[in-house]
Order: sequence, then C-alpha cells, then structure tokens
Amino acid sequence: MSNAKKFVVSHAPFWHNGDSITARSYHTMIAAIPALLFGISTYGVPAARVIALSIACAMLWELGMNYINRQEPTIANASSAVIGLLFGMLLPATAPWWIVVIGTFLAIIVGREIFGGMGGNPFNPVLTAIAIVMLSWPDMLDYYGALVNYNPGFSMIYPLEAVKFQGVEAVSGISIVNLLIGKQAGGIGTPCGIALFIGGAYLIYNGVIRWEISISFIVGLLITAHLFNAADPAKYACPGFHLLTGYTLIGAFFLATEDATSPVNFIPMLIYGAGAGFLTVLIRNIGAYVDGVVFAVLLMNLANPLIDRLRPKPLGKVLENA
Amino acid sequence: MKRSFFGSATPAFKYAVSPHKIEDIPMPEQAMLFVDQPKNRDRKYVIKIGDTVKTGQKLNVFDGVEATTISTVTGTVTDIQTYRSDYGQTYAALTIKTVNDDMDEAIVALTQAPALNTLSPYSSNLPGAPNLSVFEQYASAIHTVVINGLDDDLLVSVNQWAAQYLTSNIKAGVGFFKDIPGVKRVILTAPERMLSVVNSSGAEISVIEEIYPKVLPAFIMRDLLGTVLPAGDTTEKHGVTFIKAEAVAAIGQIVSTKTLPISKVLTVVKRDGSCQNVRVRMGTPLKSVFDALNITTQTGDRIILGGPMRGTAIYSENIPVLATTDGVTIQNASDIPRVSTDPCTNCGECIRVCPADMPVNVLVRYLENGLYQEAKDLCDLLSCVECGLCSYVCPSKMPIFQYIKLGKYELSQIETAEEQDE
Repeated sequence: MSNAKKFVVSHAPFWHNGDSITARSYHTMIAAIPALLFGISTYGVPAARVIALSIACAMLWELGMNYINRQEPTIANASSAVIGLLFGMLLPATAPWWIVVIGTFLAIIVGREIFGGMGGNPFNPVLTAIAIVMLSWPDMLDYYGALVNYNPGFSMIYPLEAVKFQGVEAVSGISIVNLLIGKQAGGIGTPCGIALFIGGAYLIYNGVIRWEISISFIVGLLITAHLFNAADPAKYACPGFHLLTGYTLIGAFFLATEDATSPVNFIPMLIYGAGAGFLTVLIRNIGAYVDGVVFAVLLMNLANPLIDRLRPKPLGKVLENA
Repeated sequence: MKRSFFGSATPAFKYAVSPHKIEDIPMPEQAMLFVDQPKNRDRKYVIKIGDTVKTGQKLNVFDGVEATTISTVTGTVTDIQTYRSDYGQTYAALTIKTVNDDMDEAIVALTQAPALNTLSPYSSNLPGAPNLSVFEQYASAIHTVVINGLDDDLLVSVNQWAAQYLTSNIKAGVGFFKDIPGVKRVILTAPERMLSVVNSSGAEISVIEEIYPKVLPAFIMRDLLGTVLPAGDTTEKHGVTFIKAEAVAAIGQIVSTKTLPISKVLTVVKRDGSCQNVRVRMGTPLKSVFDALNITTQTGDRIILGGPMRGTAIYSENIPVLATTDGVTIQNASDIPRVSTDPCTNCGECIRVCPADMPVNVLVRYLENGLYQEAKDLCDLLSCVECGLCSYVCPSKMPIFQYIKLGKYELSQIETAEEQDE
C-alpha cells in the first residue's frame, strides 16, 4: 500500500473555532488601552517609560527562561507581555527602572516559570510580584511620596491612604464622579474607573474573562463596604468609594480573572469573586494594609483549587454512597 | 465555523440539510475488502492470490476463524496486505479485480427468507453496519430500538437521506424490528422538518433538536427516553439499541425486495465545505470515488473518514468504503488547524462547552501524565460522549479528544489484560 502522496493525519476533531492564547492576550492588551492612555496623558512620558520597560523586561525574562529550559521561544503568544503590561499599570509613574526589572523577574520567573510556565502558576504572577515589591520596598508603592512632584490639576492624594489614617473626613472633598474619571493618585493604569469599566466590558464581551468573577467581586466588595459604612459612617468610606479607588477595578477585570488561578465552574466563580471582594474591604478597613486587593486575590488564588471542586455532576455518574 | 477575533457569537452546530440529488459512482475496476485480523500471531491465511470470490460469498481468510465478512463484489484476489488502523486495529486488505456480479447461492437463499438468526452473523456487512447480534446476546431484554434519522457527525447526511428518500425500505425495516421478540418500541428520531416524510414509517416518531451533539445516543437516552446512561455502560445493558436509518433501510430492502444491499450512500465533503451524496458499491477505494467526482488530492491534504468532529484521518486513499463509512471529508493543507504543545491555561472554555458536564480541565492534566485510572476514578473519564467539542474550543489547541480516546483505550486494554490473568 505504498503511496507517493503523503496525507496529513491527526486526531478528530478536524475543525477549530480559531480561538488562541495569542488572541486572548491581544484582547487583554486592547482592553487595557483606555486605562493606559489615561495614565500616560496624566503622567506623561515617565508613565510610558515604565510600561514599555515592563513589557520588554517581562518578555525578555520569558525568553531567557525558554533559553535555559531549551524550549522553543513562547513569547509570541504575548502572555508575558500581558503580565508586563499589567505589572506596569500597577506601578506609579515614577517607579525607578530597577524596580521594574526586579518586579517583572518576580512576576515571570518566580510567579510563573518556576511552577512550569503558563497555566501552572498557583498565584497570579502580577500580584505575586507586586506583593513582594510591596513588602520589600514599601516606599515604592507609596503614591503620596512617589507622585509628590506631579501637579496635574487635581488634588493628588491617594484616597485609600487618606481614609485609612484620617477618616472619611479627609476625602469628603473628592466626589464619586472625580474618582470615576480618574482624578486621584494611583498607579499608571488604575485610577480611571470609566476606562477600566470599558476594558472590562470589552473582555467580557469577547469571552476572554468571565463576568461571574468580575461581577461577584464587585458585588461582594460593595455589600461588605456597605455593611462597614452602615456600622460607622465616620470611620469607613461608602461602597462607591471603595469601588473606584485603589486596585479594585483593575483587580476585578484584569487580575482576579486570570485564567490559571481562577475557578472555571459557575458556583466556584461566584464564591471566588465574592470572597475576593469581601477580603479586599476587610483588609482595607481593619487590616494593616492600605489596599487589600493584592492580598485578597492572592488568598482566593490559594483557595481556588478547593473551591473549584464544587462542580456539576457529570452525565451518567452514579453516586455510590449517596 | 470559525470564531472571529471580534464578536461574541459562538457558532451553532446545526446539521446540513441532506440534498435529494444523489450520484451513482460506477463500479470500480479494483475493489478492496477489509477483513478483521485476529490478534494472535500464528494466524494462517487460507485465501491466496488468484482465488475468485463471488458477490455475497463468505470470505474465509484465516485458518480457524469463522468468516463473518462477505464480499461485495465478484472477481479475483490480486493482492493481500495488512492495513493498520487506529488503536491497534488491523485488517487484512484484499485487493480484488472486479468482473460482473455473480451472486453466491448461500446468500441468495438467505435473502429469500430473512430472519433475525440468519441475518445477524452478516449484519455488520450491511450498509450502516447494524449490530443484530445484540438481540441474541441480550435474549429478549432489548425493549426499545431507536432509529437515528440524523448522523452522528456534522455535514454527513447519510441517515437523513435514507430516512427521507428510502421510505418504503425504512417501513419494511421497521416492521422487521417490530417482529423481534421482546421489542416493544421502535422509535425513529428525526428533526421537525422531516416529520411529513417519516410519519408513514410505522415507527414511533420522536422529534429531536437538530443540534450537535444532541443526537448522540447518550443524549437521546436522556432527553427522549428519560434514562440517564450510567457512565461506561452500553445502551444495550439498559434494553435500548441504536440503529442507523440507513441500516434499517438495508434490512428493509432484504425483507421487501429479497436482494442483498451491496451499495451504500456516502457523503463527500469537498474542499470548499460543500457536501454531495453519492451511492457507491461497498469496497470501492476512495480514490475511485474521488476520480468519479473529479477531485484530485495532493500531498499535505487531509482525508477524513467521517465528519469534521468525530471522523478518522487516514493515510492512504486506497482505503475502501466500508459498511460503517458514512462520509469522507477532504481538507486543504491550508485549512488544517494545527494542534500545539501549549499547556492548559485553565480558561474553562471546555467546561462550558462540554455537554456531559465533565471536569475537562482537571481530566486533561491526568491524561497528559498517563494517569488513566485516576482520570476514570476522579474525573469521570467514562462519562465522555466523544463529541470533540472540547478540542474544538481549546485556545491552547490541545488534542483533548485524542487524550480522552487514548485514555479510554488504555483502560480497556488494562481491563482486558486483567480478565485474561484471572
């Protein structure tokens, strides 16, 4: 049965819907553009510098790891570029170059590659890196100190820090609308609520992230913040304030939804999101840290494998001891 | 059927409507017949090159193995080869130079008075390969026969065609099944648009949604019969057997016209995705089918027996049309989606698409590492209905379906080995 023609053989199915990791990465990057544009327009070239360096470093770290592991380069799928982009967006515009280099090393190598690369990381790489930076160099993420030389035309205070140490009185001058359009201090890509909402909606529409996680995160955060606010309005800020400050929105749409570290079943997604929202407010209001998103999401990442065991009964499964 | 970069619409898997037009493929000069090869090594051929076979004749190929395959052509054996198929299946492939049909007497006698016990040893040779032996194997425990009016893969429309245009044969076939002792219900599943045609078949009609994979047996069991099939069980164990409409028509042909069906309908899916139904003598090499339809193949193409979701890619176009072959799909080199070595990113697309609610994301991790027993115990490997949708949606382009099939195969091998040890 010799045949000169060589046909391609492979296993069924012979169609694919065309979705790819690369496409998902690019969707995420497109979704980040509005928030990014706002950050660059506010902070100018230094912000663009941080973002560009962060993306480039993240990709180089992955390339280096590919080289060490003797793998085919995998940077073309842009997943490390997304990590670099998101890490850059969390930093203040004045972040020095070495913090970006170290941070992306922590994100790509420590946060992801040592666990076996993409899909194998137990914690969100971006948050792993930012948490280590936060603990090691607390001054780097102190937006008061970092942004002291900026005067973009609105009061440059970091609302979460103000409210934590001085009470609600200190931020009474900031309206919700101002927070929504980004008139607050913060990371390069985090202050502008409206831009992040647009990005999140884009990602949900394209099926890159799951609405269950984002919505339950926001709802969990709002309910918890409301309870605190109702208990002591002078000490705890209102739910809307918590929603629009700090890393809340970038967390809800870009960080908590990271594929490898979030659940895939419906009810677990709701528990995961709501849990992260709940913990965020808890840490902000009664914890030691100014912003709780980083540790809240990391803690829920830790719980993810356990939560995700709540899954529907497969077809034809016979329960023996039911 | 591809997802666009922008837009959230997911393609719906509706079946193609079977065209009425059918083209007859002429009798080939050379036919090929496949005979199951026994697994033991000391097999001895009793057939040799130069032997003549008659249409309908039992093919005694191996010493000491009772023949169940019958020839669908008359002619002289010119070559005997071994063909290896998927999952360790091997066949003896007999090449036969064909002459005009000469019917074997034994088979003529059989078709004159068809009965369950005489037909059942040969049933796998009939178009659609009905398995009639289950009625004997399970004594009279089979109470329901489900005739599938839709095919088990997209684009293929052989059963649709048979249900719509072979109505008198279907009717005779339904009568045959109704007379089998123990059978209480004969159900024909058909989409709504076929109702007016199939109403006269004499079978109980069940309307089913024309959406893949709702037509696979496990879902028909659940949706129409209200029985959830326990994972890993055959439908026969629960008194239900599934038979293709084409097979029912073939049995109907024997009953009503006393002739042996030796041709079958085949859906040819061309490069541009258009489908054509042809009637072809079983045993015709695919090459002859392509030649008759002016299809040329070249290196780098992919030829698939069956449809795009569940078919089998083959490496030679000399493979014949078998009783089980419902479709043949040709793909251009440029249309072939590649699989990749990317790992699972846990995005959950497979979880949402899986019609059997399986934990595919965890399952695939076990399967990748060869932990088949754990995959079965912890991740319900046997619940899989083999629709292929998980691989279809996977952004990492993992061959999930292949892992699953391999896992099931390896488990069955382990079980067989254990049984032999006992």
